[in-house]
Amino acid sequence: MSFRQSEQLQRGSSLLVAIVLLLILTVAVFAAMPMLLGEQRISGNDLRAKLAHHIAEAGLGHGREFLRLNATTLLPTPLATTNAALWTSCGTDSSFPCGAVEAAQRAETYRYRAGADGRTVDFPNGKLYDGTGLDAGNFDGQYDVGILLCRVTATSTCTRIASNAPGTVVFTIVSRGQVNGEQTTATVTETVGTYKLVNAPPNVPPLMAAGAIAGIGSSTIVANDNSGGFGVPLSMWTKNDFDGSGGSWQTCRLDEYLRSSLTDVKMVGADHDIPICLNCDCVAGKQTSSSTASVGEGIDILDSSDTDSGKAKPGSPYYFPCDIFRYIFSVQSRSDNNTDGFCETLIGTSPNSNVELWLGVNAKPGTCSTLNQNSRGLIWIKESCAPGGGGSLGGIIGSPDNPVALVIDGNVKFDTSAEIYGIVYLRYGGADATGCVSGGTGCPEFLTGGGTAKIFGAVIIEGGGSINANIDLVYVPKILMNLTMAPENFRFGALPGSWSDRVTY
Amino acid sequence: MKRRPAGFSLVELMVAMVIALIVVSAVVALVLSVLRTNAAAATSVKLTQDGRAIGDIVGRELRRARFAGNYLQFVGTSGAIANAFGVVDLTTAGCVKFSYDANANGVVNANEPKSLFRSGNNIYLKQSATIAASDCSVTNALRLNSPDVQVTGLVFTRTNNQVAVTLTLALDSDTTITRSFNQSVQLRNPFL
Repeated sequence: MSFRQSEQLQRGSSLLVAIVLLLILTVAVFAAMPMLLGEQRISGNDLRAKLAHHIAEAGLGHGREFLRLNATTLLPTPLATTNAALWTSCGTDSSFPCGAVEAAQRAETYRYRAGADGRTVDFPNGKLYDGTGLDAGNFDGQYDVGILLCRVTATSTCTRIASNAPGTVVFTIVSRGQVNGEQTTATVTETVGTYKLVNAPPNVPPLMAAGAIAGIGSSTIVANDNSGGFGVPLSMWTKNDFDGSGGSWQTCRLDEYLRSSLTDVKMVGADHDIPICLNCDCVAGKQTSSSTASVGEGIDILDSSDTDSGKAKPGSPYYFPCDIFRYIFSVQSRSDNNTDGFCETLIGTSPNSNVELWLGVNAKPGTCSTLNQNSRGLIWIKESCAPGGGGSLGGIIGSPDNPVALVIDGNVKFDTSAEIYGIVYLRYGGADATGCVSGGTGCPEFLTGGGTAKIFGAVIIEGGGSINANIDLVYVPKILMNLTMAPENFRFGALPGSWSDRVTY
Repeated sequence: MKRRPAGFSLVELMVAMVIALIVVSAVVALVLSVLRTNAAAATSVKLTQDGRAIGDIVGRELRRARFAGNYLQFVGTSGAIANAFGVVDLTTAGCVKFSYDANANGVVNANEPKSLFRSGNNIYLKQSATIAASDCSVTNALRLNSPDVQVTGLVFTRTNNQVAVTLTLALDSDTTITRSFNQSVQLRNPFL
């Protein structure tokens, strides 16, 4: 071996050692890479799965809102055949969305016909991704929502026989979320039922007050004919006294009122079954109660004093609802802390009391001056509708088909032109309402004035006031029924126990 | 003229060896450091993956709690019929007991009552025959974490219909390496 060769060998071995060491390094790095890549992949899959799930949840929310906005068309008429243009029977079809319910129930379930495939609701903005790069995470996600209809029988099963479906319905919303181009989907289902927001009892009288009512004008009240039981009329119901000594007021039954001028009676409403008369009266001889001494306070006036033929003894704790708000709207407003039969203590603290939170969520906000004939449903007015507040109520407010339920925080005064369809509720916002039974300061009041205002419905006051001038307060049963039955009065609430991610599409 | 063979002197050799030693030790240190980093990465990945998987299972299971296939029975009966799948029971610390209708038949079947709990640095999912039999003991329970991972904390806190879950994990080989996972689960089938 020459020396040159030995020199080369020496150089070669150092290169070899370096290469071996580098190889070890490379192997180590390569061994770690798949693990780190795998972790990245797992994180990505995890994120996509979560995204799809949340997109599906968004679809549920959109579906519920879709139901609420389209309640007028989507809610089937009780006992009537299901609209075949909107709903198709599921039968044994277990594809989207029918398969979300079990076979037995599915056979009696309808699915909503919509969209290009006839089974997916076509939302105008049903995509979460608009390509602008400004959307959440910039993921191209989308949801498909199907809706199932179950008309519930008295025994809580679904039925397709219209005569077995008195009116209770539940909708099952099936929402499939997906991340487009990623083969990721998630399905969630939830069943929602309907409830009525305002559920005015059928025996509410046209005038109801916690405090004293004075009759000082020539006003007319037409009784709720069946308020006190079938055929037992009630015009006025107060926890305090009705003092009719100051005016020439009268009350009568609806039929007597309309007969006073039959030519002026118009049958209005979509079904022409609501009698409205703008020129009728409770004429002498047909009155149930009147300021005329010979007639006096009849059976249709229920107040606390027995001196002027009142019907309850003073201080009777039991003949008037404890919480008027709850009596009309089924939401507890006050509690009775002194067991006197009158709920005086506000539950919660204003402006976050129980009733204010409920109104805040469920009522449309309004002002006295913006009400008109297109106003409908529950409206919360946080001011007095009287001079000094939001101004007196005038013009036509609500309509026979779509009446209003006005909750006014304060007094009310009607203009001579006022024509109101629905319930006017005067709410007292103070913490303790004890004084409102005896006309305490700050309690809502039915103010004098009003000219020839007509109120077709009821006035309910957490206070007192005067029924005066030529106001006509007429209880028309169908108008209050319309208030309850109006589609916008229906609210959708999820049935607890119905949310599931059991089915996958 | 023939060149005289030029061998290394001792000094030359020692200098060369010192230089070689420095170079080799640097390379060895680098190799060791890479290997160590890899090992640490592998274990921390394991920890994160375990935590994520466990969190996912806990979240999904809790969301399903109280699903009842016979939910139609709650309509129109004025709430007279109670949900057979009971409540989300948090009375035992670090343990949640619940059930849901996996087969949607409206009846509580075996394996539908479940409990999720921590016991001895492990987290378990247990399925029981009845709601009454559901408990937080490890008998017949399925361990969710891998043996390399210790579950050092599991706390459930309920606010209305929300359950906040805090899960703390540590590496079995080095308990100073920990991960904490927090999530808030909205119970989709709340109480009336």
